[in-house]
Amino acid sequence: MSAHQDPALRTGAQILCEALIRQGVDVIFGLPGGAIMPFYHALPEYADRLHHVLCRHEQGAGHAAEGYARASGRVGVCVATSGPGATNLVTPIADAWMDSSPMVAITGQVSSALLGTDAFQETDIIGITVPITKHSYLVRDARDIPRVVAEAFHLAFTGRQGPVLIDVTKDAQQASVVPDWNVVLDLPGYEDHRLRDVDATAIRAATDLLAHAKRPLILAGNGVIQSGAAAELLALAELTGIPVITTLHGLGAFPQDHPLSLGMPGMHGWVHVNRAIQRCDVLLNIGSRFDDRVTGKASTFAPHASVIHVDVDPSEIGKLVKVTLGIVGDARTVLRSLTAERSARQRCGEDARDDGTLERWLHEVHELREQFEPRQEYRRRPEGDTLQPHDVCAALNAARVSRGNCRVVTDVGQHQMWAAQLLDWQRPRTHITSGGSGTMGFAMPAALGAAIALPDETIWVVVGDGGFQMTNQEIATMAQEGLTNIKIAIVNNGYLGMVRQWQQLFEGRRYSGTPLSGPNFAKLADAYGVLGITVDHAGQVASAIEQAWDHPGVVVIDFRVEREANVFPIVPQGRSIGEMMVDALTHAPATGAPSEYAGRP
Amino acid sequence: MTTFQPPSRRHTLVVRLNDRPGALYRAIGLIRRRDYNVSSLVVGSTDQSGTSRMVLVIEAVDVHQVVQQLSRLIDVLSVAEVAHEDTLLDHFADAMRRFDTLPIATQLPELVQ
Repeated sequence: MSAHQDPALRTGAQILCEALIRQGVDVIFGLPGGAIMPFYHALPEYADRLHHVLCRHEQGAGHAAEGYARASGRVGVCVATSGPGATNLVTPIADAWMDSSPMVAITGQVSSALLGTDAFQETDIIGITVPITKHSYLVRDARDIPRVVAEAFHLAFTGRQGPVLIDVTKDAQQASVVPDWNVVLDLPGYEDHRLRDVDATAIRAATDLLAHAKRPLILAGNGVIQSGAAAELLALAELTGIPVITTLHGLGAFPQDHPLSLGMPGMHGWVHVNRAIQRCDVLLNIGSRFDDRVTGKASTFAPHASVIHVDVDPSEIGKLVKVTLGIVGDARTVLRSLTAERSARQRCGEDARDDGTLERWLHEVHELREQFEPRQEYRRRPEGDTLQPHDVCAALNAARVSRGNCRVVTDVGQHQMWAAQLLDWQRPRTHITSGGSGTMGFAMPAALGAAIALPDETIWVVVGDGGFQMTNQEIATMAQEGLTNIKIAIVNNGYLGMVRQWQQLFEGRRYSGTPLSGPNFAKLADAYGVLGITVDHAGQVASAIEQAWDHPGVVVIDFRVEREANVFPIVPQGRSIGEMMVDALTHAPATGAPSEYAGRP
Repeated sequence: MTTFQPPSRRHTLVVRLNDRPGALYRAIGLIRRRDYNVSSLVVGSTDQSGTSRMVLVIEAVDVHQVVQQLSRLIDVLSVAEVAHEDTLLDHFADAMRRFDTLPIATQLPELVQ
């Protein structure tokens, strides 16, 4: 090294560390490798400000970043090497894309001179992730790092949130340059629609529609939570008296015990909610994207309703459902404007509604709810004390009442639907799940991320035996990090349950590829150095949950449940949400070959 | 029974993009995703340095969605649908056809013995 070396020189790797710190990042989830080694070499110099969580699989690192983001509202950061390290991030990046989660994924890349030569562990990760990233960058010059990182975080966090990938060549990480931190964001092709001026005409038109509606509904989705608009939603609902339904990702946006709260719509929503949608005359959708799990057959969705769609992404408006009025903007801002407009009119005596119309509507929906009382199916007690899978969720719900709040991370499948249906959702960011992608294996690493984001809260995981087996190695990460606030409830039915259910209901009970064996999960937990508990009858559930909650460490509970319980109600694929199967007794399952018994050790 | 397929129609789009590696790839990728065919594509630089212009003709069922999703790409500055100018594109097609008669040498790598 030259004696005249500029003390301001930094390697690209150091600049990258500093850039992350400047963005307010204090934890990253990753796994090193050759092409990202320079970055890892620099990391310890910043250990007091930037903590690295070593995961057991890059997919785990990616989902951990997602869990962190969904729990905290902040951008989740994951790091991997080139080649297979990068491709292992594809699933979590796709998951973040579908659920609009703010994520920055950093991958090492081979040296610039080797690009395109099929070098060792070279992959065109940018090419691969183009359809599933909001944007991506290939950094070949260390001087670009300050600008690229600033842009990446800006894009990940603003507007419609989503994943951004930064691919950094090894030579860029190694180069020594003087960083220029004077970054001015220049993104002429990007508009952050949250900052849009409120369209006063649209607000007035929406207020007109809502004020004159005889059977209005508010549908609240992911956007309400991401915008931090729960209070504004409550204010509008209470001012207008309009009942509220919440999508899977909207659970927690509106307190479930509120008189105006109806529940979840869609494929596994409640009958009364779906019927209300089919009867309503005005539907105000805030921050949900009319996903097909919610709408069922889109052409039959809300046939009598004028639909008002509020979304931060203009390309969502009118994409799947015909919309009477579209409002592009931030959920919180729009909700405030709607409330202000309605308040102003009420003060002037306009739109006075004392004719009892809304009361009658609410009464009508509540009558439907009585008729198809949710959880009714789950009250049927089969013979014996075989543990029912939904009882696990009911018991967890009861425990939460006395224990205070916790966050719940769910995986994908039947257990996910039972948790969504049967747990009481009161506050935003308490329900963390994979929605649009439905990625099995999401829960364990996502819980890791949530636990790190919220060290003072208990994180309950509800996961199936299938999903658990995909990513359970992250228990080792939890142990290495010394985490104690994660409690894992495995709903173990020895099947890929949701697929089995469809095979039973719609495919003549042909259980192809669904019987699933697995290890003794309590013994596996013990092998990881955490507490494992096995529960195989109903009487033990409550005490197991209490024991787990009291235990000062990670706990895995293997709930061995009734194997062929089904999630009801269900809207069969391609049907209208008005046609729900309420239980199996109304639809005799076709006979088919008996299922293989997978057995449990 | 075959599912009813709505008819594809030809649409001409003019897209202004940042003149950067990857910008074009991302824009075309969007169209590939919907399995729409690109009948013709011209990309070139504009007077504004750093900006390029792409004119493409696609056969699409729902062009509105394509326009919306192109617009939200970070490197896309503007998207407009224009009336299909037969004459302009015919001239372009004629110009392209001239390449058919140009002698094109295929360079074989010399084997080092």
